[in-house]
Amino acid sequence: MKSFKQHIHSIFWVIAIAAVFSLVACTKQLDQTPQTNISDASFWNTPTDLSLACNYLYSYLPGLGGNDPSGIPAPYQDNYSEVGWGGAANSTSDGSRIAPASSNVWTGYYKLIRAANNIIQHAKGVKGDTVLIHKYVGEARFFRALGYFELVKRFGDVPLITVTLNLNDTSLFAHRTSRQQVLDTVYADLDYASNYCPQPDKQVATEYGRISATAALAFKSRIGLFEGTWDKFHNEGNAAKHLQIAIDASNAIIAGGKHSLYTGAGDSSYYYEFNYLNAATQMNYSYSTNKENILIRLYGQNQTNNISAHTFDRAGGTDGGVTATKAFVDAYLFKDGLPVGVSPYDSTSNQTSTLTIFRNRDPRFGMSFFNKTQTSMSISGVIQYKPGLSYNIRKYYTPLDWLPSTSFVNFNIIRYSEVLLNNAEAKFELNGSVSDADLNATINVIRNRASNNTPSRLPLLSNAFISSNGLDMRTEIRRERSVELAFEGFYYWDILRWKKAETVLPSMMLGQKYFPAEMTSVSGVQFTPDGFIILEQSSKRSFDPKRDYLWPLPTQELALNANLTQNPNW
Amino acid sequence: MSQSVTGKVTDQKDVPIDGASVLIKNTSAGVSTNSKGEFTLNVSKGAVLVISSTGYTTKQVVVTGPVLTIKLELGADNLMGDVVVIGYGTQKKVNLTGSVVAVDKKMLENRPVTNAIDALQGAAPGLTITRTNGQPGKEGWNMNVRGFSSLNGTNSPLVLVDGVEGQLSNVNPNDIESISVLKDAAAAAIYGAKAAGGVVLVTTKKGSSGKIKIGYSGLYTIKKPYSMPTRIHSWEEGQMANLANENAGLADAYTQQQIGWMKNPDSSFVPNDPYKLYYYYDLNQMPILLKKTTPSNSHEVFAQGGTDKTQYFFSLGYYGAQGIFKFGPDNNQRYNVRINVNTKLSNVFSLDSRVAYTQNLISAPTGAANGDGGLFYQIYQLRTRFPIFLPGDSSKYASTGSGATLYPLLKAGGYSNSIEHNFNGVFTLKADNLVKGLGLRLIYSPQLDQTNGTNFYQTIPLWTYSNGVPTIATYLNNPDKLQKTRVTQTSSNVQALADYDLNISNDHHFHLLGGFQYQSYNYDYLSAQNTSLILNNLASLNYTSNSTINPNFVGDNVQSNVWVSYFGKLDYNYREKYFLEGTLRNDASSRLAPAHRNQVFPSISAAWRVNRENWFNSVLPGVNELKIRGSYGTLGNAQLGTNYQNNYNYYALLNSGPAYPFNNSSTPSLYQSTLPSPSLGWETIATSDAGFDLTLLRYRLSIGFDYFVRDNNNMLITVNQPALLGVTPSTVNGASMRSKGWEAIVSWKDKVGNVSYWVNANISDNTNKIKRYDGNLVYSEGINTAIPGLPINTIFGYKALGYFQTKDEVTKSPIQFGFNNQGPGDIKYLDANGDGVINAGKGTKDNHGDLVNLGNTSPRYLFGLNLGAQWKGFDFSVFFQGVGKRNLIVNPQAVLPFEGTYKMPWEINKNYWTPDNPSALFPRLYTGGGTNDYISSQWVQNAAYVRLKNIQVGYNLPAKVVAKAGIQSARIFFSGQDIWEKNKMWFKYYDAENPDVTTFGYPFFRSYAFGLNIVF
Repeated sequence: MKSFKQHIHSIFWVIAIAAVFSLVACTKQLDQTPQTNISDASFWNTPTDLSLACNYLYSYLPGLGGNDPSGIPAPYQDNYSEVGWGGAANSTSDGSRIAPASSNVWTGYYKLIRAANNIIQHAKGVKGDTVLIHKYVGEARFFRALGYFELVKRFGDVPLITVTLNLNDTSLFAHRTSRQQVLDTVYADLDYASNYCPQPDKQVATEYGRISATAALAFKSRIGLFEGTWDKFHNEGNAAKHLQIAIDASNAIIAGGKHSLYTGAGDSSYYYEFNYLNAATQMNYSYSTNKENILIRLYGQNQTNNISAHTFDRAGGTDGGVTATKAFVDAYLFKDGLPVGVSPYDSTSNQTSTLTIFRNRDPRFGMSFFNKTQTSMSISGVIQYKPGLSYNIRKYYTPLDWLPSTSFVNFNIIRYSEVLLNNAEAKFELNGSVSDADLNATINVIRNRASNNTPSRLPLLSNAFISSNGLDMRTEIRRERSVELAFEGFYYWDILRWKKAETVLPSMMLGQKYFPAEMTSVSGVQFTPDGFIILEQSSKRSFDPKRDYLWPLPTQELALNANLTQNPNW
Repeated sequence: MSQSVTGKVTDQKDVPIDGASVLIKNTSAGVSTNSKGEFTLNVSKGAVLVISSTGYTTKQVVVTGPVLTIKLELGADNLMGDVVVIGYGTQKKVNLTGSVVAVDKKMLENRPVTNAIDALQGAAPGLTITRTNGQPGKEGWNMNVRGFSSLNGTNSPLVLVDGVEGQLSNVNPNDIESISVLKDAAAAAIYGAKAAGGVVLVTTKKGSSGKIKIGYSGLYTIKKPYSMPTRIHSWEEGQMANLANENAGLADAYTQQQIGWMKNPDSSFVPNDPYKLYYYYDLNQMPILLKKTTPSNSHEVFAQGGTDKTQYFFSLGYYGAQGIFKFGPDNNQRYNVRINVNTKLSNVFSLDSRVAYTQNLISAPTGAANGDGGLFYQIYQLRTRFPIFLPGDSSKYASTGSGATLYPLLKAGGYSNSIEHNFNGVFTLKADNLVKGLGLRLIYSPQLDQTNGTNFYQTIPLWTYSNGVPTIATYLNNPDKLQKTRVTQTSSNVQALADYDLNISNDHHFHLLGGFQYQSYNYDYLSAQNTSLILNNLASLNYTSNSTINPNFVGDNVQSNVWVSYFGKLDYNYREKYFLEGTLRNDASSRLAPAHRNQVFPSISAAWRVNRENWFNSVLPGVNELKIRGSYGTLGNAQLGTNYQNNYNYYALLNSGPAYPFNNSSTPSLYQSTLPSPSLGWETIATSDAGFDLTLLRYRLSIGFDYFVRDNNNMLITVNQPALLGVTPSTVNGASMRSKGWEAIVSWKDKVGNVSYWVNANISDNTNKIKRYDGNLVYSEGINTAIPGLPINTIFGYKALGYFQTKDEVTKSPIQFGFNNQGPGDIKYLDANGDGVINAGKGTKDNHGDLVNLGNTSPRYLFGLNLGAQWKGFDFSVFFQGVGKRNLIVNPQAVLPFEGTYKMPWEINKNYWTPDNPSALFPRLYTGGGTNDYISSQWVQNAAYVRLKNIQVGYNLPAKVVAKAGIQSARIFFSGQDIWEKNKMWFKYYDAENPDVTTFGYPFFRSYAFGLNIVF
């Protein structure tokens, strides 16, 4: 029998050996790896990986609600101008804005740009079908172009970053790159996308909504027109170059014949262009059912399978998040093709009811605004619509989606109409005139859809019509654009590039003519001598042309990067 | 055979001792001496008397005859013998070298507290306890030792329950034997990596040999909510809304006719009015939904006993609290079981095993109670002109568009329930005196925490009249939704320790401790969800009318971390006069980058017990004890968040982005959200501490003081980078911070006649400053966390100069934020930089516009004052606790009415600016807030407070009476918690303890409790 002391010795040895082993084993345990996260190092191998990364970029598309970095859904952007009223003064619209500390626009689009750059860089190492790889690089480059254009549109010169940066990169503290240089990159990206992304008719149905070749071209025409007219009216850059780009890109789409305006609902086609194909089943359009839409923000599917939804038809529509002012409704032509103040049908100054103003108008008037003969939704169910201070808009309005406050109606980011309008305007601004043939291929296509090919509801535009009625071609082209693209996020940006903002923005904002018997009761409101509701006095509004054409950079970014300069006079 | 014994108790100089206690050993019978030090007692011969008095060493005397003379020696037995639990052992309080404070067990017992953390508030200097709201089970308790030690993580101390990391909220307060708080690095050093924020050592009760003791404690508590807003009539809301709109240049919200309807209870409903302004009630839902008082109660039974070989402690506890809602799910229940057994296996080996199980059930309504849009916001801030039910039909809820829907939500909207099961055990195999002075300990502690959550959102129809017929207008929670979550957290902790004691010639005492520790933690989260259930009232995932299940409806998250450490500690003292202690510890954590995860942290401390010097008594005769201490040490910190966050920061990971509906299917997306942090290393926190402990006046008065400086030299920060980076930047070790502070504790204990009483006061303060910040700085409006030269949580905002009183004053003043509708009654801000405009400038150090430093939100001068007395069977104690200085910034966007058109005013908001009320509490009413909702001095509150945290009155029933019922002792008592406070805030709807820039939430409670303790 061993003595107690010997026992102790053996216990010691056992413990010592166990301790050494466990120390080694435990130290190994220190190498833990993520178990439920995908690591960057194990990704980026196949085209499918690229597609997953590209899917993220789509959340940055402008829409009717969601998290795109522009801050507010596109239709609300009309509130930045004198034609939109969101129920309260808007600091962009009334000139009271100050340079913000931070900006989701700035931060958000640079996030998008990084995500796109990351895909473009990693694609070089991806093995597989080169058509697919090119396609996804094309998508990424489209989104990089989108990011830069949204930045340039607001801020002018912005730092151009085309690679993913790290903490020690000096480019983090880059100077602002000239607008023209940024745009050259944007055009190159869009050219790549239009070369490698599929044509819309070649896109498989399940991929409807992904970037197509025509989407890239159409976006290029938008940018070309924006920059061409900006340069022309602000006397900078190279207007002709950009206008030519707009013309070439839009010509290519028109000639390609892959798109056409939606006429599937006859007289009401313009109205249904912004609605479901089938409201009862909440079914949106596809390429086979509607060829007008070139780029869309998808929403889907329904309350049960709610992948992505917005509340625009309620928040923006009936609740008045964005409404039209008198200035906007006055832009609509009468059925003789003549404007307010010229047309014998003009009844603006002798209205006897809220309905008067709807009579004898461009058919799109009735399809864009609510009137008292229509029903609308309320918390107490279907009701007769009652006019309010300004004009509630009907675009995107879907009664069945109203009560649950979730709508799945897609947003048309780029429509064929816009391409036609870009084409007509670019030609006019480049050449100083536009031929009847060009008008027939563009604006008159739009008018024919609006009137369901009935000129007595809306005559076609021609050089002869202009001269015989003492009109101005530029004004009519611009009017057509404002009316056709009402509440799609264009008007404010258009008056900036036309350099009209200092003329139109500071005007008094008026609403409807007041008819107490027909309207919701209003109190505490001021009226003009002829009975129009005053939404905002002109004394409260201002636009400083030396300052307000470019947005202020967020001050925190200036603080973080000494090389970044603020826009003038902010 | 009993006989009458008389005696006299004196000190060494024959001065009689008044009020000394004379007890018959092992009984509760006894008497006190009179002013002449005399006593008379019936006692049998041979019995042992225990004689004690404050300041003297307790003496035991055998009864030998009818007259006794007893001399007591000076020397506080209770103090001299006080043993404090420290890292891996115990130490006599008088021999401590580090900064350690022991919490009196009394602070934990018999208080109507929600848990043990609650009970610690104000109990120890340097230990800060905060809570965010009063929701049962979701109070948001947070502990902190000595203020901020890092910009990261929760800054909570490491809580060790019986030596192993645990949750204090899960421990039954009545099971706790002692709590020590280790504050400086030297004291905490031995616990290393997780101890940088200090250590709270909790020891649970053990068994005791001898007669079995069985006890019961019960508390019945009535709780009363306080600090809630007072609502006003709907027509008052309407009139104020009109004024707010007029000021903002908007149309009136209501016509006079509509306001008239609100005033008239007979015309509150306009049938078939097609417009939205449909209801004109005057209905404050607060009294309908909220209780005036609500109960909670707790019960506990325990058994304690054992033999010389084996001792056990067993307890079973229940705690149940009801919330404030009159109906619906709103309560918290907790069950605690504990079995502590220790057995001597042989002369050498012994086994100590402590096993505890806690079940915690929380039942709450769906949706957050707190915050903007939360449940309380609904009944506090939404319009009162809406009804709950469809007029004329109280079986149907009304669809009101923007009214409060809390009533239907509580009644039928489902619930958010969770059950937490926590099992833990600490098993210690001990070998004592293997060779002389050598002891070994092997500790294994597994812990399993399983939390099952069920969030059930049931669909409720809301009704309206359509052409006179009730019709469903819309739904709440549509489609219905059931989400089940399962969180399994397991951890294991293995420690091997060796102690070696060596005494050389009774002069030199060495103690050597060496150890190894392995800690692992695993978090496993699983969530499943289904919608459109076939039955709206069956909480099962099995039945759905969904044709496809969304892949996003299921998800998991698994995270692990591992810590490996070894350490050594040497204690040395010379004749218990000079003390020296040194610790070395090597820590490694899987949370840090491989190249940076191993680091050694040293610490050292020393003490001089001056009163052990021969000359001491002659120089300082009235002083009983004086000790001077000093320490310096470093500790690592890698707590960047809770255990289940930030475990893989050095890995490049991809995150899931929003799903996109290609082809109406939920199409996944991936993106990089954060840059990896490949050089993530330890934060090194160095603390220097100096202090003294002083006992004087016959051990009745004790004073303790500590001063510390703590530097976090390698603090992890996410550096602000230009947005051009396009992604959240990496975390780098790029900042440093210094905090300084002091703590003082004074206690007095004495007995006068039959009355013994005590006073304990403690106060502590700490301040901090960012010393270095290797990154780009941004000065922003609101709370700024890391600006060099300034403390954490410095408020920057505008200086309010009162209100504009005239239009002329507006015109002559600088333009505020470019706003073009400024008017009299708006807050006028100081143009601090004199540039003629009020704004935030560039947000840089050189140009932060008119933002000025408005103070700091960290509490200063935290204090606690505890006093009590005992007389015969009666006992009484009060405990005050508070904060001497703190700025609380009220969120103007939450308290300004009409900030959003739906945010209604309260009674307090009626005090708004008008020409006749030029110095009102609130600026003029303005829809949208105008320029009044910027963070400014207007909204900074003086949140210093003093609170009557606890008051207790108890009575011990006479032993003779209860003995007849076989009861050893019985005590009945009243205990009040949070029943009074005073602060200088003008915004009375918040408590001073509310978090900063908060919106309304679940109110705090005052508690009135009646209790009973019985020991059999």
